[in-house]
Amino acid sequence: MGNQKNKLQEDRRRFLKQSVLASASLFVPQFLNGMNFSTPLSNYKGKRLVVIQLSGGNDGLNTLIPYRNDMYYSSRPTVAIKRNEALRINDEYGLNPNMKAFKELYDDGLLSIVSGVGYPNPNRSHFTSMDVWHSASLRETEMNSGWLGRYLDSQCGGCDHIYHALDINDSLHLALRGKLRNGFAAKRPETVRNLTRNRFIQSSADHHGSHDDHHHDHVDYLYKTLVDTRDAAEYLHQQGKIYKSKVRYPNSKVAKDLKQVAELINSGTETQIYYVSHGSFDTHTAQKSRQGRLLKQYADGLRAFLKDLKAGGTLDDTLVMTFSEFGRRVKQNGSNGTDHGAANVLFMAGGSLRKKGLINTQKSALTLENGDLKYNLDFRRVYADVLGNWLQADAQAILGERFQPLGLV
Amino acid sequence: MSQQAKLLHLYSRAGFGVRPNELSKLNSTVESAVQDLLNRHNSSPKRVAINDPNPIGLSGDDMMSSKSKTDKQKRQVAKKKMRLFTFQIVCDCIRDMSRTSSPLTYKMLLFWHGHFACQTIIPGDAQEYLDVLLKHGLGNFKDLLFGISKSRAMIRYLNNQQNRVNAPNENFARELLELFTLGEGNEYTEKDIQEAARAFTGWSVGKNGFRVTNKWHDKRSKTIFGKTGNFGGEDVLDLILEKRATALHIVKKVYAFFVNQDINERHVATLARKFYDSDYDIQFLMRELFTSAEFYKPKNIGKQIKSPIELITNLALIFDLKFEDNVALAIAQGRLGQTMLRPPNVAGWPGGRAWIDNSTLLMRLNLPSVIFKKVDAGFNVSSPPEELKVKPNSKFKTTANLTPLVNAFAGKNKEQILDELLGYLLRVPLQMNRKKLMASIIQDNSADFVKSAAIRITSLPEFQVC
Repeated sequence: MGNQKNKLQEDRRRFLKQSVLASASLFVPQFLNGMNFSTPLSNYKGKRLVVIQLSGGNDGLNTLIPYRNDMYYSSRPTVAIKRNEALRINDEYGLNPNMKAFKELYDDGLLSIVSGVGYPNPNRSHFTSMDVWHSASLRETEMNSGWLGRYLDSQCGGCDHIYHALDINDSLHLALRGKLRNGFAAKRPETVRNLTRNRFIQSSADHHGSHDDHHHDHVDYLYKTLVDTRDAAEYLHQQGKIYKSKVRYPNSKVAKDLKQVAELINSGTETQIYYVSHGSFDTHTAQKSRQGRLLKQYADGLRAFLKDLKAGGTLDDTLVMTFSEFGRRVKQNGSNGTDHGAANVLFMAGGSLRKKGLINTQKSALTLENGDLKYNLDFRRVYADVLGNWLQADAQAILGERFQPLGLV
Repeated sequence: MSQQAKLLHLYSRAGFGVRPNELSKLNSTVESAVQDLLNRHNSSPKRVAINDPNPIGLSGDDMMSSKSKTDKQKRQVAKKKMRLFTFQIVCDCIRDMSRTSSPLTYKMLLFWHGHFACQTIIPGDAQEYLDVLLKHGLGNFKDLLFGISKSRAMIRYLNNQQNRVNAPNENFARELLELFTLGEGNEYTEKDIQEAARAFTGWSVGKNGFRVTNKWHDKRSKTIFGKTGNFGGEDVLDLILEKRATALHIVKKVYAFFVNQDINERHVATLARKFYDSDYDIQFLMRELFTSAEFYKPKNIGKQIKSPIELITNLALIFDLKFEDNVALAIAQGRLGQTMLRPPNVAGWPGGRAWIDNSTLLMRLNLPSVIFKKVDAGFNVSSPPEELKVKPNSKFKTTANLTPLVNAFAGKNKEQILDELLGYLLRVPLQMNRKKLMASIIQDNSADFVKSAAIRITSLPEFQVC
């Protein structure tokens, strides 16, 4: 272990010396420089957040199954998970049978499962409801920035690097767009790196000289973003080489994405926030097979991921939050699926959870509103927890309102 | 500032730039150039020219099937067809932007589309909505406001179909006051929204488009802005137009879009007063704006980041591009973050720096290379439209005709060509070192220099602003 750490640090030093210092800083004027070269990069020690987005509306009722509930079974003659198939975690609730890996994590005390999460007057459009979750706002006109983007805005100093938040995606999710700062989108840093290697772009980034005309701040901003992008892609590409995971990951897109994240985290990469998406869960037809497959990929991928972090000694400093834009209708539809619904379950995983297990589950019957599960826990209470207690930020300023932190972390 | 530079600024804001063969003609006064832009609008057709009115064979049955409550599969197939057709309309509209003889007509369309932001997948609704913007976008604001408020697309988008006497839905009324006319918090109350919503009850979409469904209309009296009467929707629109705050809000938006997001309050106030006194004559407003000294001040030059659709159209003019299929337009819109009829929300595209993140910037800077097949697009279109999910490494199917560009610079040496191209293509000074730029323009033979230099310059960050 100690040997490996030394090796990492050495690799890191070599990388810094060779690539970054040599390629970028000599050509790029200081005011444009995305990296602060005056102080050497130190191995990142702070708390990390990994967000996993289950896109398309994951059906919470078939994820955490109320296997004693008659209404659940009468509403879903063919879509319900059979009583004896649910992976029981107490005498009311069980997990989807495809989530054996998830059950293990639960038993190991690495999970909290939060029920009844949602927001008032739920919107059933994928786009709008996703925007609500991303912006943490219920007002459409305020949905131009994301909660994590505003976190980047609020944290000066530490968030100077464009790769402070990394979106494992071709384009940047709203959640990571701030008013001043943005996260960095790259499905694979290599792809972005290759794009920055277009001869023209290289020469623009390299040869951009200092300029005394400060009227054209947009152009400065574009050059700065370009240089930051080039440096970030290079940095992440090199970081990705430092730690090679020894854990076996299943062969799915979400698992590959998580493996990439684990390797970056275990390399001591100075990225604090990672964003991974998985789906699509929009199970209007033939729900059982599709959702089962996706949940298995998620659960197996997550188990490998947490195992990997444990091996790298980073599990205790990492929090994984999993959400979906809405749950689904209680009553099944005419094609063995379910339509868009409202309240849902949300998962937190990691080595430092203060409250584990089932959170906010109702002993009584399902509470409905217009045929949908009614929320009794505003999702922004979870955000307040993550922002305030985990990331040590001013949650109220970022969310624009005070929400009682849920107290999971 | 040279006359040519003034006119290039004008055409980049009032249009999408100029074609290479128009360069030599840039010597008129600003006043006559603006008059010419308005004349062109007045003599141009104001309808979306759809190449193939029904390319995928959408039938009346499909429209019915799309609403089928029983046959899910039929419904999905029909909806997919509708989405494809609507996307065809969008792409044809973008093609029109680069071909039109009246660029200001289409610039106004883009502006009003962002102002009256609306999403739809229904082809007929899309066409009607865009046609209203084309027809009234440079006419009278009252006609435009009435046209949009009665358009099928907007009625459905803001749920006025569900706005009925016994269960009012305030969505349309709220956005009408907050975004479309008075502006957030200006001279209206929550109560005004509720009362206005009641006045719009019954405004709905029937078989032949807009209709007022009497049995859904709330016939009791309403009090709006302190005035009481048995108001209907049209009365509310008139009451809104009576307020000067409406003219001020519209002019602010116009100013931010056409001049500078950092607005000059005094200039805006003057324009708003004149606009109101002209009875909301949009042509009058645009003439005042484009002929004002303020518009040509250095602080307002190069201050806009081109929107994705402006950027694509600008490139289309420079290189005489033809978008052969919709894939290129799908990639460009989807990857750069502006798909027509899919604004992020009812507030429209925020614009400015919000267009830029690391992935959109790289896509923008790579765009000329992608068009000239030098590099792959290298991306999936991750968001819209689902039917056109483009495989990784899809090539842009575009053809360029470089003759006009090459001819415009014939008989000049490289230094002259570079100078003139920079003047033509960039609205801000070159920030990159000129020698280095010259060195990075690599061409196989001297005849290629114009092309290579133009591709190089359009790949610069400086080209992203106008």
